[in-house]
Amino acid sequence: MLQYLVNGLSLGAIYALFSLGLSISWAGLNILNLAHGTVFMVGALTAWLLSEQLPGVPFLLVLVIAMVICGLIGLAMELVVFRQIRRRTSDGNQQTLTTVIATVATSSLLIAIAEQFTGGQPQGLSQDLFVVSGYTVFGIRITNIQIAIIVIAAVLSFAVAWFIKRGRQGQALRALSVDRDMAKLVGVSADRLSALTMFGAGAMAGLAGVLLAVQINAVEAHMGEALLFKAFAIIIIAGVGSIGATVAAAVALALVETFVAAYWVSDLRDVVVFALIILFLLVRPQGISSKGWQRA
Amino acid sequence: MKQRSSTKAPARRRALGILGLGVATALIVSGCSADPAAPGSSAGAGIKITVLADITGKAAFFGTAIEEASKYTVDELNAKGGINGNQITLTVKDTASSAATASSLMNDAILDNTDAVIFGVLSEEALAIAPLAQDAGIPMINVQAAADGITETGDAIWRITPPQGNFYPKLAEYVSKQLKAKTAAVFYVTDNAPSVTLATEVMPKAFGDVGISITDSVSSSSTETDLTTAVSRLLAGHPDYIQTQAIGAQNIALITQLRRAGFTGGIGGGTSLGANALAALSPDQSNGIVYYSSFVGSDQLPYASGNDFTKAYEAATGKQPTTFNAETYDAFGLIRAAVIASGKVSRADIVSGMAQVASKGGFAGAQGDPITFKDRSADTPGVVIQWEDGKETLAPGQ
Amino acid sequence: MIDWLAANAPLLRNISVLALLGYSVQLALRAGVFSFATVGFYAIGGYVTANLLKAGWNWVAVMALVIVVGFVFALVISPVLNRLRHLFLAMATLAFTLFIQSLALSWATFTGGAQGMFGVRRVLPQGAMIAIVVVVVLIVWLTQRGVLGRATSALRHDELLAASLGVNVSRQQTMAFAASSGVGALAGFVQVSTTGVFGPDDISFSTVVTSLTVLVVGGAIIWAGPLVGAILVGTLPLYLVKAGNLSLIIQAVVVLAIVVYQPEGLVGIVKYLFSIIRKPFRKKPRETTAGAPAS
Repeated sequence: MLQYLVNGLSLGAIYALFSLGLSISWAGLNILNLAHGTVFMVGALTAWLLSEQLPGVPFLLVLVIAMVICGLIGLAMELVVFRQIRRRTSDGNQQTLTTVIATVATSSLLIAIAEQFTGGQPQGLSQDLFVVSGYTVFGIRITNIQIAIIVIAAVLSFAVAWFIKRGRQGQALRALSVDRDMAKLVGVSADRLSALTMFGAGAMAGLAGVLLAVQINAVEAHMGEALLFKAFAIIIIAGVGSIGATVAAAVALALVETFVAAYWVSDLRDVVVFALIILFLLVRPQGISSKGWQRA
Repeated sequence: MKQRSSTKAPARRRALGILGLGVATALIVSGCSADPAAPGSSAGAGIKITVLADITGKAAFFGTAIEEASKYTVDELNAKGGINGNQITLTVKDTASSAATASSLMNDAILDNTDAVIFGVLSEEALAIAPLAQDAGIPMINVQAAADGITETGDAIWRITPPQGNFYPKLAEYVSKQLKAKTAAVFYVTDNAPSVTLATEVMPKAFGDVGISITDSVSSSSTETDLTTAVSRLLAGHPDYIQTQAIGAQNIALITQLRRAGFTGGIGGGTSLGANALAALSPDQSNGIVYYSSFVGSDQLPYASGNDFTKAYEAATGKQPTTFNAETYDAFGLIRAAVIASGKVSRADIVSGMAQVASKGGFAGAQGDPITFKDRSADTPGVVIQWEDGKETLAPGQ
Repeated sequence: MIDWLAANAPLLRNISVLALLGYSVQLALRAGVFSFATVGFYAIGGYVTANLLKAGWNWVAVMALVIVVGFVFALVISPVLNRLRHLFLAMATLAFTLFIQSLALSWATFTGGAQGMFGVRRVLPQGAMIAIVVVVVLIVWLTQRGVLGRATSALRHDELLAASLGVNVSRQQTMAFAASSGVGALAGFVQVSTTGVFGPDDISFSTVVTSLTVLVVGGAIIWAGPLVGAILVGTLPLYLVKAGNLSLIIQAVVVLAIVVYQPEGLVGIVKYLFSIIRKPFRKKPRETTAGAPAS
C-alpha cells in the first residue's frame, strides 16, 4: 500500500514537471503544443547521446545541457513557427488551428531526426551516468532517482508559482494571456515574453525527459506521446495556467493510475484517464481551479 | 478587403518560396527515381524474386536484416548456378513500415513479371497485401508477421517463421530443468495480439505442463512509460522466474527495474528480446537472460544445415547471423525447394511446388532439418537463446 | 486508362481514404468546430463495416447505414461538445478519438481486439470508390457557395457576428459536426471494403496527424484542399522511399514549411499562379468563392 503511494508520488512528480510547461504555454500564448512530448524526448535523447559520446560526463552537466537544448528548441519553435504564423494569419480561429497543426509537424520532424540517432531502436543509458541505488525504509523500496525527481519537481513547482505570481515577467505573462493586444499597449513586450515562456517550457520538458530516462533506463523516439495524453487530462482537471492546481492534479492522477494498476486491472488505467477527462469536461470544463486564466 | 490587399506582396513572395521548395523536392525525387532501369529485362530462363521489407520506419531493424540476408542468399544461390539452372533476379523494395506503401509495391510486383514475393515483417502490412497476392496467384512468403489470418488468406500465402507458441514447451522445459524455477510471473502488453495470446493462453499451459505455477500476470499498454507499479506487482508473489512479452523500450525498462529492485531470478522473453532490448543494456544487467527463437547463430546446433548456414554467413559477411537473417535464407530455400519439386518457375508452379514440399516432409534449412509445415506455416520447435556479453548463444543443456 | 487504374489501384484507394478523412476535418472546421473526432468516426465506420460485410450484408446497404451511424453518433455527443470552444474542443475531441481507440482494443468481440478485423470481403468496385469521393467533393463545393457557404464562413470567423446576422450558430455547428462525422465514418467504410482489414494500427494517433496534414497541405478552407493534400500525402512517400531514412525528415520539413509559410496550402499556390496568368485579361477584379467575407 505505502509502496504504491511512493510509486504514485514519483510518477506524479514527472507528470507535474511535464504538464507545467504545457499549461503555461497554453495559458500565456494560447498554444496547444502537441510537440511538448517530443521536446521531452529530446531531453532524454540528449542524455543518452552525451553518456555514449563522453563517458564519465557529470550528471549535473548533462542535466543542464539537456535543459538548454530543449529550451532552445522551444525558443526556435516560437521564433520560426509560432511568430511567423501570428504574423501571417490575423484570424484568431485560423491562427489557433494552424499553430496546433504546426506543432504536430514540428513533432514529426523532431521524431524523424531522433530516429536517425537511435536507428529506430530503443536505447539504454550508460550505467555510469547516474548510479541508481535503492533503499528500503519500513519495507518500502525507493531509489535515489525517485527521491531526486520528487525533490526537483517540488522545488521547481514552487519557483514557477512564485515567478508567475510575484515576478514582473510572470505578471506580464498573465496580462498577455488575458488580452494580447491590450498587454502590448500597456508596455508588455509580447514577443520577448513568448520567447521566454517557450524557452522555459522546453527546458522543463527536457529536465523531465532526462529524469525519466534515468529512471526507466530507456530512450526511444516515441517516448513522449503517452505522457502528452496524461498531460491533457491533468490540464483539463486543473484548469489552464494554474500552477498549484496543475501539480495537485498531476499527483492525484498519478495516484489514481497507480492504484488502478495495482489493485484493479492494470491495463484499465488509460480508460480511467479518459473517463476522468470526459467527466470533467461535462461537469466542470474550467477545471478545479476557479482562478484559471482561461475559460472553456 | 483591406487586409487582403495589404498582405498581397508578402503572400506572393511566400508562394514563390514554397514553389521553389516544391520544385527542388521534385528535382531530388525525379533524380533519385531515374536510376533503376526497368528490372527484369533479362527475361527467359531466370526467376524473378521481389523482397518487400520494412527497411525504414518503425520496423527498420528487422527489414535491414532481411535485406542483408536476401543479398547474401541470392549471391550464394546464383554462384551455385541458380535455382534449377535459373539465375535469380533480386529486387528489394522498402515498404517504409507502412501498409499503404506495401500495398502499392505489392501491386507493382503483381503487374511486372515477379515470380515470387518475400515479405517482412509487420503483420498489419501482411494482412493488407496477402489478399492482393492471393488474388493474383503470386506466391508470398512471410518472414515474422505473427498475426492470425495471414496464411489463412489462401494457398499462395506462406510463412517461414513458426508460430511463437511452438517455442514455449522448450522454454518451459529449460526454465524448469536448468533454472530450477517452481514459480513464474508474466508481463505483457494488451495492444499487441501475439503478446496477449502467448501470455494468457500459451505460457500458462506450457509452464503448467512442466509443473511451474504462475504467480501473477501483469499487463499494460505498450506506450506506458511508468512500470514501477507493474514491477512491484510482479515481485509481490516472489516468483523464481519472470517472463516479459512486452515490446521495445518497455523490455529495457522492466528488466532494469527488476534488477534494481534486487530480483536475482531468471528473466526471459520472446524472439526479438536480444536485438530490441538486451543489446541496449550493460552486460551485468543482461547476461544470462534467456529467450526463445526459431534459430540462433551457433555452430553447436543439433542439425548440420543450421551449423553450415552460420559458418557460411559469418565467412561471407563477418557477422553472426540473426533469426531474421536465417528466416530470410529459409524463405529463399522454400522457393528453391518448390521450383525443384515442380520443375518450373511460374507463379502457379511455385505455389503448387510449395504444397508438394510441405506434403513430402519439408526441406533442410537454417531453422531446422527438416523444416516442416503445418497450415502453410513453418513448424519447427525452435531453440532457447542465452544472452552473454552482447551476443546470442545457444543456451546449454537443451 | 483501365491499365493505369489497375496499376495504381492501391495508391488511388489510399488517396481516396485520405481525401475523405481530410474532408471530414474540413467540414467541421469550416463552421468553426475545432474537431479532432474524425479518426474516432473513421474507427466506428471501419468496425461497423467489417462486421456487417462479414455478416453477408450488401455493400450499398452497409454504406448507407455507416453514414447514418456516423450522423446519429455525432448528434448524440454534440450537446457535450457545444459547451466547449477552441482548444478545449480540440482536446475533448482528441480524447474522444483516444477513447474509441482504447475501446477498440478492449471490445474484442466486435473489433477483434489488438489483432483487428481481417479477411473482410473486398467488395467496393474501384468505380464506386471514385464516385463516392467525387460526390463528397461536389457536396463540399456546393455548400461553399451561396447563402449556406457565407453562413458557415461567418461562423468560422466570428460566431457573435454570425448570430447577429441571423445564423443559428448551435444548429449550424451541430449540422457541420454531423456531416463531418458522416464523412469520417464513410472513410472507414471505404478503407475496409477495399482492403479487407481494419485494426488498431489504422486508428492510431498517427492517423490523426495524417488527416490534419492532408487538410493543411492542400488548403484548410478551400474546397479542393483535401483532395490536393491527399494526392500529395499519398504519393510523396512512394517517391521519397528512395531517400531512405531521410524521407521522413523531408516529408516533415515540406509539411512544416507549407503550414507556416503558406497557410492556404498548395491550392493557394495554384490559385496564385492562375491569378498571374489571368490578370492581363481581366477587366474587373472578381471576388473568389473561397475568399473571406467582407469584414
